[in-house]
Amino acid sequence: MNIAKRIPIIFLVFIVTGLIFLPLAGTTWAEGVRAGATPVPPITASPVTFIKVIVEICLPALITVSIRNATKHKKMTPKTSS
Amino acid sequence: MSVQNNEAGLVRKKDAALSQTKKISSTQINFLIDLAALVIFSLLAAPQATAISFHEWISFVFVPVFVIHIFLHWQWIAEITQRIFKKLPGNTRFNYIWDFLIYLLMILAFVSGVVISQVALPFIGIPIKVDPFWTSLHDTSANLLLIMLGIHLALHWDWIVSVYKRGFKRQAKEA
Repeated sequence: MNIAKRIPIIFLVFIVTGLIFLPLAGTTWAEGVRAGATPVPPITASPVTFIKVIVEICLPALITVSIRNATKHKKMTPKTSS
Repeated sequence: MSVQNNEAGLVRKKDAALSQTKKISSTQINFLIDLAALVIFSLLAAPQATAISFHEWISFVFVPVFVIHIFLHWQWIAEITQRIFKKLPGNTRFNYIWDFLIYLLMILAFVSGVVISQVALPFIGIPIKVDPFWTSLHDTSANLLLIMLGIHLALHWDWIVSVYKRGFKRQAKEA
């Protein structure tokens, strides 16, 4: 399949998958969320949010990389028999 | 005769070098698209810092970049989809499931974002009434996406580092 065909197909799948979520609005779960919703305060300009975004991406990434490195290191270290 | 052989050898070497360059550059394009997707996503993930109109319009820029990102990895997606119920390395299976969850969450965040759009939809003449259900889904999916994206990056960290070292660092040295 060539590029010209594949990209519209991916777009179409993207839109169709999106439409699947729309009926969620009519569920009892949605009603429950609406009933318990508090009024959303208006968005105020705060550049600090960028830091929050960076932390939210980097922290899980750092933890995962550390775990992977630790596991690799453990696998590579020869076991010492006692 | 020997001159002809030498020329043929040179042509072969040149072709090999060209194909090598082509191979590296396709990986670099991949890398640059991924980088663009990350930067755009980081920008749109902070509506408090960028204002809501920027947040909404840049989301529409992000969708094609996201689709291109999927397109560039289509070979891998198709291959693993065919083999998902067969024998596969654990990390490949985990990667596949993780990426699929990110895909679903990304669509959920996009759909819920469009439904509660305060700038883009009114701009094209569609008035909206903000539904707290979609607002809550949009916030939750967006926050979850950030964490999942971090783990997605970490899972591909070796590739990121190797492409950076192979491609961009070498180019910088040559320049």
